[in-house]
Amino acid sequence: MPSEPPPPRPLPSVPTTETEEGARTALVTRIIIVVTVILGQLWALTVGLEAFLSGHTTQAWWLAVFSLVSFAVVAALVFLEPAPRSRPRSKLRR
Amino acid sequence: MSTQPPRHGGPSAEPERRPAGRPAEGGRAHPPDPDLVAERIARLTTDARVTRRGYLRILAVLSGGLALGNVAVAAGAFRRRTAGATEEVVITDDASVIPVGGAVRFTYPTERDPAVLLRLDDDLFVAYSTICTHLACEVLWRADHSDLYCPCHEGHFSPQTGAPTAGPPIRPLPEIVLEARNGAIVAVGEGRIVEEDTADAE
Repeated sequence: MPSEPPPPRPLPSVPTTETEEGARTALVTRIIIVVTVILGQLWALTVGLEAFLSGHTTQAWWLAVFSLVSFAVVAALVFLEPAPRSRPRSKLRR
Repeated sequence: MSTQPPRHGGPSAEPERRPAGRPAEGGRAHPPDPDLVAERIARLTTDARVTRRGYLRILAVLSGGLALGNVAVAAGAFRRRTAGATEEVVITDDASVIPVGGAVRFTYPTERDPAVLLRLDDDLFVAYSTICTHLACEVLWRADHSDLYCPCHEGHFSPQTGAPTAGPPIRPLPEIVLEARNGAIVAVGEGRIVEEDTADAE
């Protein structure tokens, strides 16, 4: 007597959208990058002040430009938030 | 059909849940609902926290402030000795009235550039800018200690050379070139000026 085929295994419960934990990780990563950039800005401020007082005005201006670019990077990281990732259902069923 | 319970405080809130301590319709006080109290405490503590997103925005404001500060520094928010002055300014008409160890404050080359004339010996006069080369505070002459002293960060400069002798400054005070004319002391230019742009031009 032929045995019946086993019932199909249920699909694992894979979330279709980014999980809360993933979003939190992305946010913390952005915070770490921003803090690193701000440390660079602090360095630029101290070196720029020293350069200006030493008479190296050109160097002070370059450091100011560096700081402005750093701020642009920070603003992009803060305000250009990527949309949450999602996985189409069709790719989950193979 | 939705089976969600109604939110508290809304029009369809559960009638039996009343704010803590408020009497019922009959005027009789009931003990507060412990679930409601716990929920409110949890909501209050959650609202008081700074979220990660809020922290990120605070960091963005800090970053903008640093960038503006850096531009302000490069644009000349701090005082610094200007280079290339050749004006002649009479500091005193009669140098003999200045005692040995005495000092006369003046400004050179503009009214915004404080300086000091020192008489170190009978025939030895020196003059320096009194803008500290550390963070641009004004340097003071202390006759009792025979040194030029910056009170902001405890910087000390030698009166003989203007070189830093103690504290955070690393650059000497800019020297002002003097001439003696018929008993008068005249500032005629700046000597040792640290200015890259001028040095390059020369």
